[in-house]
Amino acid sequence: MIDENSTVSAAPDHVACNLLGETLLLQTTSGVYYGLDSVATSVWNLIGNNPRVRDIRDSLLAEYEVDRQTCTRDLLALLENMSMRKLIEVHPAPPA
Amino acid sequence: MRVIDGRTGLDAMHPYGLDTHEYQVGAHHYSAYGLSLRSQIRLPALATTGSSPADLEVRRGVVRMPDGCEDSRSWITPEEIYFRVENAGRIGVSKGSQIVIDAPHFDDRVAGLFVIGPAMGALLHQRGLLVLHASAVVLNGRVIAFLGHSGSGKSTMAAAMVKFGAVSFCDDLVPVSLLDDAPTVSCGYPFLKLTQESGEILGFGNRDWTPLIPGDARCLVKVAASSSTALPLDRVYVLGAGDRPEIELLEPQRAALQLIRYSYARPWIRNSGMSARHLHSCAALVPCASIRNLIRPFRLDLIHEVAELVLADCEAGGFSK
Repeated sequence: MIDENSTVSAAPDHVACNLLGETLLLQTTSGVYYGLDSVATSVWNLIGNNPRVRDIRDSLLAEYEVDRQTCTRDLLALLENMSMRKLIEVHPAPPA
Repeated sequence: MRVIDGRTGLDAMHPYGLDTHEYQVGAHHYSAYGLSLRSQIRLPALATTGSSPADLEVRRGVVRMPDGCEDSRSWITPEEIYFRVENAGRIGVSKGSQIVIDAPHFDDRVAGLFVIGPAMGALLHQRGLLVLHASAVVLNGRVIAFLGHSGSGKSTMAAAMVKFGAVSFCDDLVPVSLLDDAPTVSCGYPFLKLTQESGEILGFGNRDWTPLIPGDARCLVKVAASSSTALPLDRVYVLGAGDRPEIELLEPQRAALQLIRYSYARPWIRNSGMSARHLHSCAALVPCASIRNLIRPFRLDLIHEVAELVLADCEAGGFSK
């Protein structure tokens, strides 16, 4: 389960390629290609720093005109999707 | 890397087995794709040249697959590509400079077709080019490529463009060089693979329509040769089927995926360690060339209409992106 306090990192088996502000991803083990739009590209670039989900959200809030609730919901949905496709690894928040 | 076995003449630099003991200097000289070839066997379609230092050599020899892969359709390392042809032979392509045909049952004519087709595609890929499964023509000094799988009408489309004043440039494989962000294409050979039916409708009239090989109705039809060896790539049309002729712009990601899908080397790329380079090449081409879907009914009686649509699209685009 992923939440604001989870940490995310990119799965190692990929090649990423910038394409006019968007991203093409090749998952090398499956041979499947994925296209990321400009917002997902922002998220993907932040994932390189192994951030907490809330850190990604705060960066998006600063970059895009979007309310906090919508941003959190859409971000979690995107990360769930990426996690399901094994493009990212999700690490649970350490116990408080 | 392992040396597979110690049979006579095994070159330790090729542990997966291109035997060199049958080596003879080839007697036939050709040029294609900006390269000079020296070949032990006569090759179809390619322009002949005088004897000169060769960029690549073609010969008959022995090709062995590595242990445990004897039944594989292909075997790939970063420097070598081996593949089976028609369950009757093997071709080994190495280091962008050597093609070895191991197919004793094929006469030179049939073996030569595999050389100018898949072996050449593999070799150009090894030389760092983005090789597209396409046919290409030149219009106003710029290259227009038609992308598609075998049987999708690439050569027929190119032949129709020739009838409207374009010059044929490449058939079936289009090698794109991406140096300096300005994509260029090297000229292949002045022949198109056409069936008798499409050839006659397109006005490539009375000739011998003996098929190239049994089971394939197409013939190599000679067309006017281009005077240029390399020209800029202007646009790429992805051939598709639909009810009526139309042209659709492709968004960048979809354009890149079409280039990936129709890459000649695609079957060899996965697990070869070359997929990163290939992905970057396809992505690099997208901003530099106009890539569009060309949808049309698969009907020869409409081919002229489709060619006119392409000509109008090229003129409207002003030959720049």
